[in-house]
Amino acid sequence: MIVLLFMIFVKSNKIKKLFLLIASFYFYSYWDYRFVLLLFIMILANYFIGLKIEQANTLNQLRKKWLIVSVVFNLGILAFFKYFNFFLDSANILLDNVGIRFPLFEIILPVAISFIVFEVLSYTIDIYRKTNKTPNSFLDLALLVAFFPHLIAGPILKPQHFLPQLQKEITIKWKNVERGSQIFIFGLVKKLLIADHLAMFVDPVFNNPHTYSSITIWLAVLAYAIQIYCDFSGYTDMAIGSAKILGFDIPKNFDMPYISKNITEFWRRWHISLSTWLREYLYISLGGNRKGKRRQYLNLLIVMLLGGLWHGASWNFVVWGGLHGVALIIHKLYMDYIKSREINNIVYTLMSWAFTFIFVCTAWVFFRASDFSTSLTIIQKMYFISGIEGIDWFYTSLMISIVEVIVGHYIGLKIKDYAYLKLNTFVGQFVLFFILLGLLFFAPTASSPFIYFQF
Amino acid sequence: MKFRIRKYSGYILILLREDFGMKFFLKLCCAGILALVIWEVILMNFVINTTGYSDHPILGRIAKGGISVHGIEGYSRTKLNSIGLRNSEIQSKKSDTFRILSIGDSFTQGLQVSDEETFSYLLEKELKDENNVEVINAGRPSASPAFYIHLADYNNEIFNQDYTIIQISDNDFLVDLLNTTRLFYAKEDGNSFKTVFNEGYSSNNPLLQKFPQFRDILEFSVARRGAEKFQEVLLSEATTRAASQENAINYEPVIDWVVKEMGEKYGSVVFVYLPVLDYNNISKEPSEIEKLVMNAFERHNVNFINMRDSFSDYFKKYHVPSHGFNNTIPGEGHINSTGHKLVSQKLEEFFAGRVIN
Repeated sequence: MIVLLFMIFVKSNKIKKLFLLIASFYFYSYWDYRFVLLLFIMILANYFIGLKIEQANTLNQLRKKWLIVSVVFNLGILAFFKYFNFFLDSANILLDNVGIRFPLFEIILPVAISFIVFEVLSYTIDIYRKTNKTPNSFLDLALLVAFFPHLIAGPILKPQHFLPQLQKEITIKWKNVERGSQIFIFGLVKKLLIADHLAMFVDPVFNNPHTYSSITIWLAVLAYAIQIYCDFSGYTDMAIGSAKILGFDIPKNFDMPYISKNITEFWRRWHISLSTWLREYLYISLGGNRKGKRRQYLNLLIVMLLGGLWHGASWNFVVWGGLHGVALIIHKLYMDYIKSREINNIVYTLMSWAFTFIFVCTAWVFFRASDFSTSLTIIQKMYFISGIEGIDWFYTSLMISIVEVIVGHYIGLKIKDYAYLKLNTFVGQFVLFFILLGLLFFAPTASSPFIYFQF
Repeated sequence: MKFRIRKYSGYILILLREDFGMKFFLKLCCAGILALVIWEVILMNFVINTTGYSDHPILGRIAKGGISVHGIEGYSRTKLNSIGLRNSEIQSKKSDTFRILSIGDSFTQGLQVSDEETFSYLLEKELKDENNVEVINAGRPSASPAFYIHLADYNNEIFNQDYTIIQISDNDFLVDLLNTTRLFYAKEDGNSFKTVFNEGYSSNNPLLQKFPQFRDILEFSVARRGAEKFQEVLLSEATTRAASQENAINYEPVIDWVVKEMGEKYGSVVFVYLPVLDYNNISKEPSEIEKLVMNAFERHNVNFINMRDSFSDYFKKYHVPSHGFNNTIPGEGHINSTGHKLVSQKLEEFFAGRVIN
């Protein structure tokens, strides 16, 4: 609110941007003040490197060297804070038999470090590839990275799309405020009324899977699929909404992923900014599909393994990424060698959707479970490998959420974009009050943190 | 002339703006009120509807008679009588009727299950087959042994029961009995304890304790739901405090006093103890409170039923916990229809042969 008022009453665009940056740093410090300096240093270092790459111009060797500096610097920070203890711990397990044990360090994970690293890397790589130029001022790059709506959990912004918006005059328009606040509230509803309610079901089941029956576990896995979608897309909506209020456009990060009929389509609809980043900066850099089929499949697997690891320093995430990598390869093989023509058959479409959805839900088990053995326990119960007995729990909120998500997706398919109400009309005001009161009455007292904040 | 036109058009513009502002404000108010009304209807029918409260000269703050809807935990739609009990109006006991009075807190009242699923109803239904038995459900939310002891003479006179069931659980001691903000509580009196009727009592809701003038507003479901949200936050802190104080307070003397007093004041009595079970670790040790209560029961040679074995055996066999609901967490909270059924079965076994035909 303070930021909004400042944007309205201050005339100078430079001061507006400076205030926005200060507000963003303050926002970051609220989560963890200790790493504000780290954030600033990363932005400064990459701005400097970007300038150097651009100045090198036709000297390709020098440009490459500066790019390597950028990659090593940024990934080094990520590796240290996020993966140092993970690799040490893994080495300790391997070397335990020979009596070697490395001490683990108490390293605090900076909030949003994975997102920040990817953001600055996309900036320097784009300059290297000459698809983007350094911005006119350091302030613009700082805002690209630290802009508070997207700072903590994305979406990862494309510099060539967002930097031009920073160069325009920042004006607050009623139409943007009206739309942005509705998108924000929509995200809040997804988070508080759906995701947090489902968390109350998912958490006890995933913490003690042996207590619950197979059907309860299936329902909990389904609930988690909805929870993570509503949690993350809810956050993204809040980011898009708050950016919209300030006059900025952030691209959407989800496009109804659970209607996907194959895993390739799923990754075009889920966490779009991440999958785009992985495709453009990792998959293409590895060679993409330009070096033969085998190399293409290998590249897919490497990208997904690293994508899984990006989410968290745990073998569970690597397994999750690996499963998706294998699924992508299988789909590619199917498209390349088996599927001869387009099949327009409702049974085929339904089965494709069902297989994709079941696979995605099964893979989520590794994403959510606290450790690998819990993941296996859940998978065994899901597929009736071990005992199926346990508590049957048909969680009321899940039944309601399934209906809400199906109806929401159906409406989304029909209208293709957010539906907006005019807030100066009676209908608009009534709907707004109705939703806000619903949030007041039904939001859980103790909300869970956003899932993607841990990355 | 030009100046006048400009001046008047300026006034007109101001009036129009003011009129627009008024229209907008009125629209906003109407939209808000309509949203509140619709939510009131939804909440009243599906989530929560209270009958309001009145002050009884002896019982203190009681629920008024009327239809009560409870949908936060489990679901029920029931009728409360004029003294706030989940029962039809209390008639004088007939000479050929064996009357059992079932007193307890929200576990006995059982607003989480329907009328036909409470253990009081099930017990009466089973015993009625062969006897002229009447079981009165006198459960009240947040009631504790202080309530039962203080009102023993009143209960015995009004209900004139032949037998009394007293339901107790850990929370009676941890949260309610010694809590001076409750309607009835116990406090130390020399080497013993005494019960106190809290004349300054307004509500268990911390918001109402601070602002009692909001009492009438809270009869509306929307206001009540909002106040409950506030209470949930504070209650979670109180529970945490209570759990941490469990080791700090020595409960043995007060538990001993409670069992002795209730045994003496109610004469023919059977205690039903509802344990806290961890269904993820069903063999976990009983709580300290449970051990103290069992010791007190045995020391004072009173009839008692500890539901621990029934609940855990049933769970081991059928994987159905006796606590919790589909709209909360199975294994936590109040006893569900399974729990009520198991309690009624144990009581039925107890009363077989004790009921005077």
